Amino acid sequence: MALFIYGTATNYGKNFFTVEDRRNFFLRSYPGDVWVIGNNEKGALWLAEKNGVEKTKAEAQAIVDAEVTAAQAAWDALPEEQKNRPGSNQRPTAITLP
Amino acid sequence: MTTYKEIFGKYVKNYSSDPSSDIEGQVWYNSTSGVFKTNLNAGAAWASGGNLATARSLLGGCGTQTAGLAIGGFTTTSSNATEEYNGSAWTAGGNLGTARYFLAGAGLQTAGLAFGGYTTANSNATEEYDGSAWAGGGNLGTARNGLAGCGTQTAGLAFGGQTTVVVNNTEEYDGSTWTGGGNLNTARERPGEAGIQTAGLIMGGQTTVVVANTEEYDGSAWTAGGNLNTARQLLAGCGTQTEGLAFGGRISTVGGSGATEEYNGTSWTTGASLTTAREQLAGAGTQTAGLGFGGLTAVSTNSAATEEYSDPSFLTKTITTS
Repeated sequence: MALFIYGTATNYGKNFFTVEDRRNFFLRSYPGDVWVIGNNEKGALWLAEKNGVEKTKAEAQAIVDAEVTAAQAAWDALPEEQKNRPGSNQRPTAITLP
Repeated sequence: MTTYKEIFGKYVKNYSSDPSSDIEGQVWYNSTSGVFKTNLNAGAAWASGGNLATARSLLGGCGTQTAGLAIGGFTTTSSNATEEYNGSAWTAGGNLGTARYFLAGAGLQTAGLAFGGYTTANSNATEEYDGSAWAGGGNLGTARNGLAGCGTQTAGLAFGGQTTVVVNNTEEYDGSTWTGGGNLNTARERPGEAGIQTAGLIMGGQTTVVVANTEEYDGSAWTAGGNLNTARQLLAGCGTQTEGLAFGGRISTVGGSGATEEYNGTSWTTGASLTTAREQLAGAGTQTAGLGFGGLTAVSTNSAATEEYSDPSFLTKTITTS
């Protein structure tokens, strides 16, 4: 059995995930509203209850890749003074889903 | 047969719905479902809180988990936005007089302090919040960004940061004026922080490299504490010098970490990870009831996400005979 379920869902805030959810299954967010969820009954139920859309790992990775590509393009287009401002970001790097 | 009352001295309470309790081991009878239930200590965990109205990074924070304050920060430019958290949702507060980012915050939601940061230049501005509006306070001696802050509105502490170079300056606020305190042993910018003016804590940050160093302030001098297990910068902190919490930050590349660590006055131990890994976020609250909000995600997107830390956290379980 696969370790994770992949899906998209919008974090609406309070009680989107609870302490109990965090104890019941692995949960981590990624760009593009992608969520990697521990593959058990409670994890699957959580995604369904949040009106999430289940994705294959490849589909989820493609969403993340598109977000990273767009962010890299946005960063490249920044004026130099923006790139050099205090606390400025570095160029986003590729993300590989677990 | 021995009864529960003979062992515990009380009868098991009868509820029609589960009580909202954080007492480990409490036992009750749920008359609706017809079962006995109890609270188990499930260790530390982050849960989602209400989203910020204005997603931002490099913001200041102070207050508690149920009365937090988000101050300024960076959207696509300097922000003057203030938001107040009530444990469920953020609502708009009074705007900062000086919009800025990379600032520090201290105090409470109804008695907050914002100082330093960056506008189009390093700022020495201090502002005091009364729960609805900001008023000018005494200026920092050293204008800087990327600094740390802790304490209260009338007993604040500012330390580290960057002018044109990384600095070790400490300044103490008395409610009207900043005066010099003992210098950090390791000059740094972008650290995490916790504590009060007479018992401060700084962890992580950046010199020319990312560091794991922790230092403790006693009101006059900084001494070395235990190192973070994960060296990082642009992290958040909350709690006290002997019960501190460090979370998030940048380890090496942009994108942020979810790593959380708890300090006991001597050493750091690993806690539960943030669900949304990020850097440049703000923190508030305590080690047992922390609050993380805002920040920057892996694709340089400002985050509105809020997470609430609980250690211990409790799970309600049905008692069975099997």
